[in-house]
Amino acid sequence: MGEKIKRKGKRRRSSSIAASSVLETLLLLSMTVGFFTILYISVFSFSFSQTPPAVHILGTTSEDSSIILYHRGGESISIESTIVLTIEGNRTNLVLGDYLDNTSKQDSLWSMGESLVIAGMLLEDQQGEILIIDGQRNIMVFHGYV
Amino acid sequence: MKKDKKRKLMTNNSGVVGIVATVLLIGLIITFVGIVQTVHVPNWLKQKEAHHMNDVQTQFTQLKYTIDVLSLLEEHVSIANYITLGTEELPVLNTGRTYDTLEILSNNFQITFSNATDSFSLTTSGILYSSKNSHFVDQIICLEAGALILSQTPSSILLGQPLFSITNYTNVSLWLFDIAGLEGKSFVSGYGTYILSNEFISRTTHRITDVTSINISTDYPEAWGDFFNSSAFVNSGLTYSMTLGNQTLHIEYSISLGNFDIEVIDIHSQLAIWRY
Repeated sequence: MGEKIKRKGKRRRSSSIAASSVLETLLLLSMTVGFFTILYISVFSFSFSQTPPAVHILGTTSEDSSIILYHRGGESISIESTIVLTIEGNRTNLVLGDYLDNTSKQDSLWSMGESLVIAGMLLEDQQGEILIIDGQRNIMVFHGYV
Repeated sequence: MKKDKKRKLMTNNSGVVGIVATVLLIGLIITFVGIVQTVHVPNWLKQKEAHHMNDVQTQFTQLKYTIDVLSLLEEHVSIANYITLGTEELPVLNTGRTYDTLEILSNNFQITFSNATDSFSLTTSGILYSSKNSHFVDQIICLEAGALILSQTPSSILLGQPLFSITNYTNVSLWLFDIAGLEGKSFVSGYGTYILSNEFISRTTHRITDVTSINISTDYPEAWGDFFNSSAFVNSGLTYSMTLGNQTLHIEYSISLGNFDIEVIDIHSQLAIWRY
């Protein structure tokens, strides 16, 4: 009888060790799967080009107070991009392509050597703040004052 | 005997868990490195190459300034300028090194001034830097007849205009540089900072009166168009028509220019490729 009890005790100990190993593996697996899922979601919901495009833009005004923006080299920008113009606290959103000439927007891009002219927005002695937000990547590519 | 079997089974279980954990850990590391290599490294390299392009532009503005000053001083001394070719690789990852080229061109630019009866033609050479970027857009920077040009296929812009003056509206003085290279020391390709030695040789003045048209043959007609469209020429009150070709620029003045003085500056330039 005494021997029987001892044997039962041994069996219980052995099965509990096996269960802990399975649990350990399951926990490790679930942790890894969870981590990979978070990593996957965070990486693939993330735009791959979060760095702003390297572009040189020069902003100036003409004699008749038209705002002129020159593309002076670097990456091309989509004509769907937004120009946010703020004059005396009033913010206006403009589509970049609307201010390019027809030849420049043939390739749907604002490229080096091309300039855009925004006429009739700025009055004499007024200062405007300009932001250009790249339409494809939703990133600010230019910030300046004219 | 039974005890031995049980021990073996227990040992095997522990072994499997260890292997699974190791495989998962390796998978995790590979995924992390993969994400860095495919997502972040190209962005870092693009920024690095864009930054290098800015550096080279600055170095070329210094080169133009040096040659402008040399021609004004007319001193027969050699002044060194530095041009950096290529970008360094990323640390640890050991990737992203690029190699550029620097060349002293031969007869790459031609300009012809014509009046009703006569014409004066000049062919000059210049200095050309060409990038071989792997992520950022490729650029060419060229010092051509005294104009500093940035080219990005298919367009070009003027970074620095040649020396010129306009007096009494129609008297134009234009300084054009002819940069001659030394055979065997006029081309370099690779990575690193290279020395370009420039020396003033001579200055010759050519005068042509009543100029009615200017013809230019160049790889960068848009940039030269920018120069002739610049405020000084526009404000001179001269009316003209401009025709832009693939490799040509033609300017026709409705009223002839009074006197056109063309100052031709001969510069000797060589890449300092020393034997160590």
